[in-house]
Amino acid sequence: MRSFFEKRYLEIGGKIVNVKLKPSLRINTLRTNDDFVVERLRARDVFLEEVFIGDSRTKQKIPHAFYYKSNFSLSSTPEFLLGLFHLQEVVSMIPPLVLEPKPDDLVLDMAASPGSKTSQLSALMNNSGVIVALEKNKSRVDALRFNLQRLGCRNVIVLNIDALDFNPPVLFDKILLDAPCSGNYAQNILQGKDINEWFNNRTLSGILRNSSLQKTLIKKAFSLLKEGGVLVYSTCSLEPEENEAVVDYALSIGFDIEPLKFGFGSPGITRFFDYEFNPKVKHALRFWPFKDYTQGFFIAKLVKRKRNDKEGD
Amino acid sequence: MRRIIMNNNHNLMRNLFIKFLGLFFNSPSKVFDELIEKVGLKDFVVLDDWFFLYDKEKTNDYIQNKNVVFAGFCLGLKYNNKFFPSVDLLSVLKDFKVNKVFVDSDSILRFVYGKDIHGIVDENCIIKEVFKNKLFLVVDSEGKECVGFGRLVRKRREENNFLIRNFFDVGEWLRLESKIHKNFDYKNS
Repeated sequence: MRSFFEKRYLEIGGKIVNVKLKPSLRINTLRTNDDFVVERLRARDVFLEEVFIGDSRTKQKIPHAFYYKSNFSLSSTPEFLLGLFHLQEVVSMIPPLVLEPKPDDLVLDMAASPGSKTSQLSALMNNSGVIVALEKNKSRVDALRFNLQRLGCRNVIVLNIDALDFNPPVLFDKILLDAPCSGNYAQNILQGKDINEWFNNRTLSGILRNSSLQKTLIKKAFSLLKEGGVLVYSTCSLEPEENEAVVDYALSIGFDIEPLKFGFGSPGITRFFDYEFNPKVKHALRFWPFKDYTQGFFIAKLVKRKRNDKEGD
Repeated sequence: MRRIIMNNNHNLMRNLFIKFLGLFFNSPSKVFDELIEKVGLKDFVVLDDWFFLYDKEKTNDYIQNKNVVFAGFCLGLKYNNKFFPSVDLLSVLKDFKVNKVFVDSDSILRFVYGKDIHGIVDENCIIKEVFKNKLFLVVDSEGKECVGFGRLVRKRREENNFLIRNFFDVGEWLRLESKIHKNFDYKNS
């Protein structure tokens, strides 16, 4: 199966490289500040380095994010147990930053567990406003609850429900849809597994099944969002069917897309074999392990058009 | 199973929480009121044995939803008849007038691994006792973080030589999470 994916990635300017990814953490500003945790962890001989993304021209700091090197597991330190930081991959910190929740917003997180992004949203909102976090899978609810209590998130309501069955009484200002997806081979690198195992466990029919679910979730998000409201769509997949094709669909049902200026990542692709997507899909960002030294990722910032707006206004 | 407990059981759960506060304070009901004021969320709810304070005005529509499993400020969890106070609750309680023992970072490390802390010398440990016969919160030497609580057993009062018997530490959450994860019945989920 690896050759199947190699061919697909080559078509869109990508390749498969067994890169070394750096583990990272996010300081939890609901509990503490960067200096305090840095000092504590350095005293335990943990090496920490601030995270900058982009090239020398577009270099940008990711707030409260650090790469770390440690000879022991950080998840057993008092600082972790006290919720002073959370272990989170750098690229997964980007969707909440793009969503930019304000303290009084009503925010929906459609697929929340294990709560890395939910807790980051909570920190960005400084525990004000309300975040409604949905998690369909009961086995994943506990991880979410444990993380939220550890990290001191007080503005979160969690419902154990499929987002497709969720019918709230009011519409949301902002929605995060970090959609269920096929994942990507670099996750195996982070977990110390063979990357070929990832390719062997994926099929085109599985990818298409995910794509169909993601489009259904996008449609649901559209119905739950206020006019002019923002939806951030992200996946940790590299497959165009789960990324650009879903955004192309979103543009066809009444969303607009806003360009993302991060100085890192590559524009969304507009062509894939016989498919041609809406040219605006280029405003999305995709992250390649070989280029960006993160796991594979995709993100788009979508805005629900007001009823009187025409596409492109 | 309906998980929101608003009937007689609700009072039972509330009493259970007040009993927990009674481990540290002489007037636990009063402390509960002060806690509510301090946190700024006055409504109490229990969901799946998890205890919360939440904002009724902002979130009542969701609290009524039968699928709600987490809401607002988490006070803790009842598991196997033991109350696990949340990390957030401990961090708020440490700012109350309460018995505290301040310990150095090496002792903190041993304590969160579930150990009693033995034979701490007095330079590294300051005791602040407010209530007799109550448990002590274990706090880092800077007074910023509370990592659990225990009973203080003095060996010889005049020498300030003692041990802290571990009743609860924040590492228990990690140990509990792996236990729950191991026991989860995925087939029936």
